Amino acid sequence: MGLMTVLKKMKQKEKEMRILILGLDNAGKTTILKKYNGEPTNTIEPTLGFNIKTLDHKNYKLNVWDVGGQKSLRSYWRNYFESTDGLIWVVDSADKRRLGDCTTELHSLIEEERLAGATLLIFANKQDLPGALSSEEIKEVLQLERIKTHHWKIIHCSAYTGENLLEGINWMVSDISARIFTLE
Amino acid sequence: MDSVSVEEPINQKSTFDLSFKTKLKEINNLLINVEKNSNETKHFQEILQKINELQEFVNDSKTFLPAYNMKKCANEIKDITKCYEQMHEKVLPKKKFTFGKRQTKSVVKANIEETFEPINKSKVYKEDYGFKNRSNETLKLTEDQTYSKDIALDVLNNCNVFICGTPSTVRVSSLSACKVFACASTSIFVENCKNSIFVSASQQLRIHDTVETDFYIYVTSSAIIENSKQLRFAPITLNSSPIVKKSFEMANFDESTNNWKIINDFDWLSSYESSPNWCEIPEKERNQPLEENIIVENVTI
Repeated sequence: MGLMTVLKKMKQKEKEMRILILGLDNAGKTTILKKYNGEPTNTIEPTLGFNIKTLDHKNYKLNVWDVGGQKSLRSYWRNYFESTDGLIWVVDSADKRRLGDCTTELHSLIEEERLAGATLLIFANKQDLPGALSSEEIKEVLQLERIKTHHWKIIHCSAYTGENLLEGINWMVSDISARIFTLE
Repeated sequence: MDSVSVEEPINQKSTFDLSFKTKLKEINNLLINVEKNSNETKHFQEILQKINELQEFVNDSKTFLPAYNMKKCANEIKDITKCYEQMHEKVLPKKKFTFGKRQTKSVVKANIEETFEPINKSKVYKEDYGFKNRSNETLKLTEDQTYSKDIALDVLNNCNVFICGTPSTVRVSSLSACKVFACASTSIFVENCKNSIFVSASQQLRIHDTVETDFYIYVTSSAIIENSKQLRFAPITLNSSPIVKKSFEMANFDESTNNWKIINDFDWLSSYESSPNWCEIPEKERNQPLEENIIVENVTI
């Protein structure tokens, strides 16, 4: 049992969090992840499969999973739910036609029991585009007020310029850590 | 970590197996007890906590457990949780439970189903620039009309469409027998089209639910297709398309980095065989429509 305890201690010290980024195709999930990681964002292509990055943030180790959002991939999303601490839902604020799809997908995710404990951050992305809806409008369309099961917050951002990305992750990390690590 | 001997993980594993089994049995016994002679909330709390602990225990052992065992354990935990839920339903049917995630979930789910209605689309849908419900026409958007905008083409039949300038995005749905000339600074999205020809330049190109359509394209990343068939691709010849060429230069695209050949088919995940849903247009058959022909034709009508 000795080694077990050591392993457990190590894990706690590292303070790992598992974060899942989801959203419809072309929402900007990969761009957000690459921006966080300081990689160039001008050659991003639609994600066939997933990307995973480990980010160090404020003494936490964030394992961030970015899963492709194309219709044919959405049925695979569930394979990534297990032990997720935080869910980032990315919305293309300029894609008004698909906000209905976006709402339906989000609400069906929220009912997923394996995501029940996860903190939910909604990024109203692409604010740099002239046609983008504000985060208030997105909040209304996505009917976020209905969500009572998760801690959630909506933040407008632009993955292209980097605006507000840090604010988003800061909120998420502090919400998760308040929930997980102070309880021990 | 290379120096770790082979024995250790095995030992760890057997220790793990043993304590996992013990814990599982303990929970089982508690459940049986609860069924026989108790209906107090606190017993359920205790069981739930034990289940959570067990889950944590498995999570912590991730580092050395083989994937198969992880999965097996996860399934066993799932089963016992189900057992627990059923038992709870049976023994304490009326009381509303609030402390456990799994209980609140089922309550809220009902709420959502009762009240959830997709919002009326017209409330949010501000009309994009573009064309809708047209047939047998030549349509044109000027540079001023498109600059940085989101352009939408919707339900066109037998039309020629020229999108001049550099819109931010172009969204094309439900076209048949059309020719489209467009350049977008970010992405072009094509869905539900058939028997058409696209001459386009963009950073991304996404094609959904489209059949029998030819693409003469420039893309900086790579195109993707989904639920589409009989698509054919060729590189754009900018010189035979002055309108797209002008926009191309305005968008600062670089002609030397055209990835037209890299098509990701989301319905074809094998990398050994190429997708049956698309092919290159053989050089002999390449016949990119000429803008001037169309415009002249139209004038003479």
